[in-house]
Amino acid sequence: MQSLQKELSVIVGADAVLTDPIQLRAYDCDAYTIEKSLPTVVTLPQETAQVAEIVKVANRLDLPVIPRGAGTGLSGGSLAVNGGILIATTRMNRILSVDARNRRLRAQSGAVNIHLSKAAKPFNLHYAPDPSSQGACTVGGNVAENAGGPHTLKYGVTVNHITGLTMVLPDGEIVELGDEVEDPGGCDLVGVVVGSEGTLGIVTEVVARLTPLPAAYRTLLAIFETLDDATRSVSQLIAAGIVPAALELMDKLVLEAVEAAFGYGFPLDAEAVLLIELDGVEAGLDRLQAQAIEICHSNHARETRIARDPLERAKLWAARKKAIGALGRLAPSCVTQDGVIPRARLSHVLREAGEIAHNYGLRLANVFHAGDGNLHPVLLFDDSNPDEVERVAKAGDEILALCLREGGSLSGEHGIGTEKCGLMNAMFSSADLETMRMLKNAFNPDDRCNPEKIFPDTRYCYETKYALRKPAFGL
Amino acid sequence: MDSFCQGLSAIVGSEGVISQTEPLAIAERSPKIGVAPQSEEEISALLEQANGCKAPVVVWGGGTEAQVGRSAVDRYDWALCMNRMDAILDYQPADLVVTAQAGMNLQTLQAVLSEYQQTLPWNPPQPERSTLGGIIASARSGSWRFGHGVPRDRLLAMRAVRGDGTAFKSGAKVVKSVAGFDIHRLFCGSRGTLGIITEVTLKVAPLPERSELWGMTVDHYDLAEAALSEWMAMAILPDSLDLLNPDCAARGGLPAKITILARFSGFEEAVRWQTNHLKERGYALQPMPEEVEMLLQDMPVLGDPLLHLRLSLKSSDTAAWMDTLEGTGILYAHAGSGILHAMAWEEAHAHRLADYAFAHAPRWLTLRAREPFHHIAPWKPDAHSRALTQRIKSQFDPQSILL
Ligand SMILES: Cc1cc2nc3c(=O)[nH]c(=O)nc-3n(C[C@H](O)[C@H](O)[C@H](O)COP(=O)(O)OP(=O)(O)OC[C@H]3O[C@@H](n4cnc5c(N)ncnc54)[C@H](O)[C@@H]3O)c2cc1C
Ligand SMILES: Cc1cc2nc3c(=O)[nH]c(=O)nc-3n(C[C@H](O)[C@H](O)[C@H](O)COP(=O)(O)OP(=O)(O)OC[C@H]3O[C@@H](n4cnc5c(N)ncnc54)[C@H](O)[C@@H]3O)c2cc1C
Repeated sequence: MQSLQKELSVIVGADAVLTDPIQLRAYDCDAYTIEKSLPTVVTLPQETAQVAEIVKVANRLDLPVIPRGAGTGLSGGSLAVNGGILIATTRMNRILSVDARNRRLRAQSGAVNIHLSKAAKPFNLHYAPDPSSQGACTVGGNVAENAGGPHTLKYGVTVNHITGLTMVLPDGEIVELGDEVEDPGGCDLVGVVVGSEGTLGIVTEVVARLTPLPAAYRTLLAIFETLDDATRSVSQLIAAGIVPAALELMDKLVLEAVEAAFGYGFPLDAEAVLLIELDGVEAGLDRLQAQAIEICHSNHARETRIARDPLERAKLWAARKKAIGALGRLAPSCVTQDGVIPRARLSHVLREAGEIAHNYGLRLANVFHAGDGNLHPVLLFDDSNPDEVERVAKAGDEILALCLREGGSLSGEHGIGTEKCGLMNAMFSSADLETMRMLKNAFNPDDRCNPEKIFPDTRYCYETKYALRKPAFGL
Repeated sequence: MDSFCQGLSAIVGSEGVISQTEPLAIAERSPKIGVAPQSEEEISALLEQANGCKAPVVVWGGGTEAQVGRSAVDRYDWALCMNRMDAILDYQPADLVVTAQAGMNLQTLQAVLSEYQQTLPWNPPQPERSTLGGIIASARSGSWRFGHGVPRDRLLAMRAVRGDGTAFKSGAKVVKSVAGFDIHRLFCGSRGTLGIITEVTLKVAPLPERSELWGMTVDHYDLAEAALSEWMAMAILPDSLDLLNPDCAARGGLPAKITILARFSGFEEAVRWQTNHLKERGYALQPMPEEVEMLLQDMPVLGDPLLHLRLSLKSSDTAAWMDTLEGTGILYAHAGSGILHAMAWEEAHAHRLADYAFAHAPRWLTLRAREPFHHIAPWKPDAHSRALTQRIKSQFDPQSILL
């Protein structure tokens, strides 16, 4: 251990090598807090070359390496399942260049999402993917999870905004995939590394595409007496060819929590609200807004409120982005699921999900990216009640099974990690999984980088799959 | 050979065997036989047989780009044609998601989508021939890429058969999914070398209320760059931002001048505001005939060049590159994205183009190269990507039967 510490200190400096168990505990899980495991050592490199040297040490000593950004992941993606060298990118946080004319930004992978947009703002540009955790999560973590956010409905998810990556392969080789210019000559390697959850190598730099800031917005809140009316409005807005910048749904329980926490003035007697944002050039936005309002009213919206100024708009968005945190007020614990369904099926699925929760005697809150069909059902419970914990786990699995039956996906943005590896068989055939395994073999043949994630046949997944899958606490 | 053909017709039926193979030639070599399967199972069976006898296979979509990336072919046994796999499998207009077989051509799909006021906002060359599988496998795009992205950006899911004959799926038929590796994105640009795409799920878009092509001419390339850079900093949202050299403009039926083309679409008042805004800023913007865009992407109109390169540049360098290459032939740039198509017909011009491009372009792809250029590299070698792609190929297609 001491020689490992010494060797790593030579690479990154002694202050960037953590071995004290108390310090290591800060790295024993991500925001999916129920599975914990201590890494052997944590390193905090500042440069790509240092990452490569660390990885070479890991190879020599046959230790796993685990990439980690800010640890806001919600699927156990950066869990050091078998210990090993955890490479945290928090000190690799520099914005390296902003090329406004060509709408490109180069940053180290530990740069925090919002800092990309801040660096671009003087040029009237922004980095479009905006996960609710954007004040903390890193662009490297976003690349790993192909993160989305409210505005990805119109602007696309992370992969649509990354043109190049520098990464360290699991054998220590530094590779450049893509760059500032478009169209790689051959297979889209950047496209497949995005969303690979840190299992193909460690991303050290990204080249991101920047998007013009919209010239004008319309942000409105539509208030409904029933959840059904709200979800039907969503399906009809999409079907009518209105592409809002964002289309988010919050139900009664969420409104209660948000009101209790922040007092924004949301109605407490409504069953659901839609937060609808339209953007683009000023001309035409009023007509688009009128169309959206008409669809809401034809589905019995009680009221539609229009944000009158940037401050009101900011308040509405703050309420949405802090909603899950606010839910902590309603129960000792809550778990956020993440599944996707076809948008035309929203009403049906939310009704069934409500029934599942009801059958298990659980309270279910909904706050999600409705326009994308990306559900985030939040189950509220008391973690000191083992029976309730078990019911939460079962209800969560049933809701995901429902998403799959509807032709959807196990995850829209949080990824598989360790949390959902046991469910991959329900979505993919053995040939599908074998194909994914082949890709992994090309990058990470020894499973050195971020081992035992995603695949259902790993030892860790196998052992925990049949044990009670406990839910994530206290988001 | 006869019993061999019988074996194949047992898989694809006698109508699925093509013995007239000259049109399927690559680098002047015709395959021994063409096969046109009708299902994923048939493709699996064919590839298993090809692996058994180590028969090299080339996948054909519309055949508009089969040459690209394949400059020299030592042995070429089978052409696998996708033309009998051209059905729409599932279309949910209310969800803006469509699933179709890979052999369907873009024009046919667009016709179905337009009945529901929807569209796939792609404009690659030859939509009546280009197949969905071919467009994705060659990552091909047209001028609308500036506003609507490249094929990868709309590909949600795929079914395919690996070179070793195993069928698999990737992705999900919904607009967002992070579950396992997105192999479908890896297949973008794979040009039939990893596997055969059988089915694709795509995110479609509403048809805009209005879509108009506008343009203006400038006297010098530095004025073109000044305009482009100002437009890209403005609050306008064009679908395309193209730059044509005088030769190119002339082939498109326009006056032979340096020309900027931009398409605007959306609500009528939004289109009007954007074009007026540019005019108020002093740009002499004129409405352009709608067919110009299609003319420019149409190979027969442009004529078969000796050399056609696609260069990947910085958007800000595009006009300067065109200035340098002026006189070599047709120069057609998706300038907002930094993509320059350079086509030369005279041998001396083609040499000038190749020498300069190969020395200075960050990246390039050879789209057409006839005698005496047929030996030039298919694309600029990128050592890292190439090594990784080789490793992936050896997993997906261990006997290397997919050429
Ligand atoms: C309150 C809250 C709200 C959230 N809202 C959203 C949302 O709206 N949309 C959304 O998509 N997600 C959301 N998330 C989830 C999470 O923020 C994202 O998954 C984010 O992308 C994780 O980034 P991170 O830097 O925290 O990564 P980590 O949690 O540290 O790691 C996540 C995964 O990425 C890998 N990784 C990290 N850095 C690298 C690297 N440099 N190279 C290779 N692999 C790497 C890790 O190994 C791990 O597998 C939310 C989370 C919370 C807690
Ligand atoms: C103005 C202009 C712009 C052009 N722009 C581009 C451009 O941006 N990019 C570009 O690449 N070319 C471009 N071209 C090239 C042009 O399209 C070709 O030279 C040509 O006309 C050839 O065919 P396909 O669609 O018919 O090709 P396909 O037969 O579709 O084949 C394309 C490739 O995909 C593979 N393939 C086909 N179907 C499948 C499948 N189902 N599964 C797996 N692989 C499959 C094939 O093996 C082949 O490698 C452009 C041409 C012009 C004139």
